[in-house]
Amino acid sequence: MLTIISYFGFLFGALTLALILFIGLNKIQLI
Amino acid sequence: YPIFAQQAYEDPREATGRIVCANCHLAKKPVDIEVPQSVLPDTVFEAVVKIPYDMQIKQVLANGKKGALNVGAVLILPKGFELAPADRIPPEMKEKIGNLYFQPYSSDKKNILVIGPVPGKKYSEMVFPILSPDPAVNKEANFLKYPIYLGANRGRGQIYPDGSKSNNTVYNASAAGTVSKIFRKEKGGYEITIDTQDGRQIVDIVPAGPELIISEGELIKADQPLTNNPNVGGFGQGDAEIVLQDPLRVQSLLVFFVSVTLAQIFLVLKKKQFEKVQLAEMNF
Repeated sequence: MLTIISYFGFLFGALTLALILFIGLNKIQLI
Repeated sequence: YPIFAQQAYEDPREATGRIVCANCHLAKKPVDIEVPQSVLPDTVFEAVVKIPYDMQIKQVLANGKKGALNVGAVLILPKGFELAPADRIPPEMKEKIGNLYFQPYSSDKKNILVIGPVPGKKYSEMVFPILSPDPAVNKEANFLKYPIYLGANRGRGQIYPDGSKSNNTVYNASAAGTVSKIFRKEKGGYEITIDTQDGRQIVDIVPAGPELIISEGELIKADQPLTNNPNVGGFGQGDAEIVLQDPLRVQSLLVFFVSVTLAQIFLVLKKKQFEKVQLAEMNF
């Protein structure tokens, strides 16, 4: 159970972080 | 009884891997053990031992009557592991354990736990509360993968430690010849007189319990079974593996995962940035 929760936790965390970085860096026109 | 093993053997697991209970409990029956894949140091966890059998069946008791089966088990833990002290067992685990009273095998072998005989109807599934060692305190323990060995039994044994048969096993003819007389004793059991071919008379005594499968006048061979086998129980062995896990290792693994994820994200972002540079036809 803990394994499944932490797997999806990591996945969701990584995707959120990527989204935030993408939007943020796009806004300041770094990418 | 576990007490027989405790008196006769210093270590219940022989060099061949056989657990000494099998010396008296001859029939083989399945058993099962469940432990967590890994435990952190100085933590209380449970090992679940299952001794499945048909609850409807009855076994022969010492007085020849039929009765319910008892169960017993020996759990050989790695060095340093021991029975969890009562004040550290959480209440919900206490409920699962019930009234079981676990005992260390001997004063210098606290990592080996024995239990039994206890009523099988209630304790066909037993929960052992175990405390893992802390390698920082206990130098005997290390962060490794360890084997756990289980021996568990249901029903009475077939042989006593002195080598004599119990009344829960098959009795054989001690000589070839003709069965001349079967005398049924008052308290149960039989005296079977065999006339051998050279004219001697031999009396085989069968205690109360097993049922005769021969009759008067029958010609029998030496070692031919005189009775059925009343044994319905049996002994089984099992093993499991457990990892004594260092919390630092788990944490560093998580840090490694995070760093890999970040590196991947930044590689993608860098590529995006580079594409923008290419679009502007800015060649460096």
